[in-house]
Amino acid sequence: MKSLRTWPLFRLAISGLVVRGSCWLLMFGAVFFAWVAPLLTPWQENPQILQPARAQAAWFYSWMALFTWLPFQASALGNRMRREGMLEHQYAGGFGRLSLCMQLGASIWIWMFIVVLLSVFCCLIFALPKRPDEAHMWLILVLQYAVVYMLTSAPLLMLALSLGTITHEIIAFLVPTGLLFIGFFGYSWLGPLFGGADSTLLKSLWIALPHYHLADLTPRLVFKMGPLPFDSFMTTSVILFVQGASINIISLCLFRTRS
Amino acid sequence: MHAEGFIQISAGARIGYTKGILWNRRVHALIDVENEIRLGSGLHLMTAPNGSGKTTLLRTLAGLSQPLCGEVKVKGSLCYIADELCCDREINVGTFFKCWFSGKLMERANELADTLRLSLNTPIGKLSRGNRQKILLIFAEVKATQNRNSVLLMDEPLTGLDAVTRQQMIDLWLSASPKTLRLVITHELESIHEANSLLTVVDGRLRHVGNREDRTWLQTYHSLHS
Repeated sequence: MKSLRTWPLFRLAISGLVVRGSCWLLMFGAVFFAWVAPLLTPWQENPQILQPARAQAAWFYSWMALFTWLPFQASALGNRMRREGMLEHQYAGGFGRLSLCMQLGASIWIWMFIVVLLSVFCCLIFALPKRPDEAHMWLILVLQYAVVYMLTSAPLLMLALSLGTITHEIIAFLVPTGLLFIGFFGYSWLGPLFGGADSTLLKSLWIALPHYHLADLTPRLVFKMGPLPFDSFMTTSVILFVQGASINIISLCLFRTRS
Repeated sequence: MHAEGFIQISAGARIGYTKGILWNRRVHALIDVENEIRLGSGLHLMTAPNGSGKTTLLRTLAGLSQPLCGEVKVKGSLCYIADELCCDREINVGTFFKCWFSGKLMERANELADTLRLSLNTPIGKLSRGNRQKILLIFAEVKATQNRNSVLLMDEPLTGLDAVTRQQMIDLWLSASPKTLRLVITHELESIHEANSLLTVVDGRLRHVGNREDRTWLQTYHSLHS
């Protein structure tokens, strides 16, 4: 007879997020924004742009969620669980740091996954091309986008969560958001500065910096450029995976149970 | 068949904590253990003046701190209820229990909530201090029934409870799951008539009394400190 639940912190975290209600707003907003935002543009001048604009809006919303709601919830959750003493209670009861970290991480990744699913849904329902060959390429591109988005976001959310257990939730929110900002926009101004430098140190620094711009496949969607070639997709995925694994290891080292 | 839980603190053990950064660590020793102490199943009380190291000892037993020297051994399924442990204030009591328990254990939680007059549908944040404390007490009791060798370490669990509920809880500790080891930090010694032993800290030394003779536990405590 099963009566003591497995992964209680995961359940507790999910219940806490659901009861606060902002997750429903996030989910409703994902579909609403993808539908409404393109209608606010002068799309009547060229109705053909409406469909890719919806795909663009859907993924823009996902990135906005990764800049705001998702890391904030992760940092607040880590901070709250530590302050309440639940982490310490579980740790004393025999749960290891990895298990605790994974339970809380999973409770945030679920929302990340839902955001991705909604973006994929919007791309396939609102913006799927009519010609079968185009539709096939569109589908592959959307799936590739979902994979690279998750490879980017999962470690950052874990970092926000772990930082939340050792410091104030605002700092825990700002660090991964800052990393995402540098990785997303920094390549245009740091790339020429570091990447083209003669110094090995600067070049190494450039390699070590996050390269989240690789995960932004929006232009391929908007201009219907088709999916990434398999080799490019694998290279991008491996780069993001290695960077993500490093961040996950750092997060696990930072994770603190003591209240 | 599970062996019963026990707590063993070796003679010569020193309980305390270290403070400060790596190159400037300072050791704060709070409790010295002169004779080996072994606690078996039953209710064990711990009381001592504020700041004498009760919580540090409990944290050490829970494995959250290391003893400064000597050995501390806890055998059994450990459940540590810290003084500052609290639940998410937004969720309601029933949801909190559902996150931890199902089946028979959930039934037991509902039963105890009913006995202690605790509403399951109220958000935890809207409850009084005493009612929030009831949640933790029920939580600990239900967890303890899961294993036959449970070790419950509770830091001032009776704080904030009204006299009736306090007595109900003490009666429950004495009657329910007799194989469970409960080590309870409390300052309400006058309400507890039955217990297996008393631990206290006198001049930085841990004292353990298993036999109170004809006195109450409160009188025993005063005699140790006089």
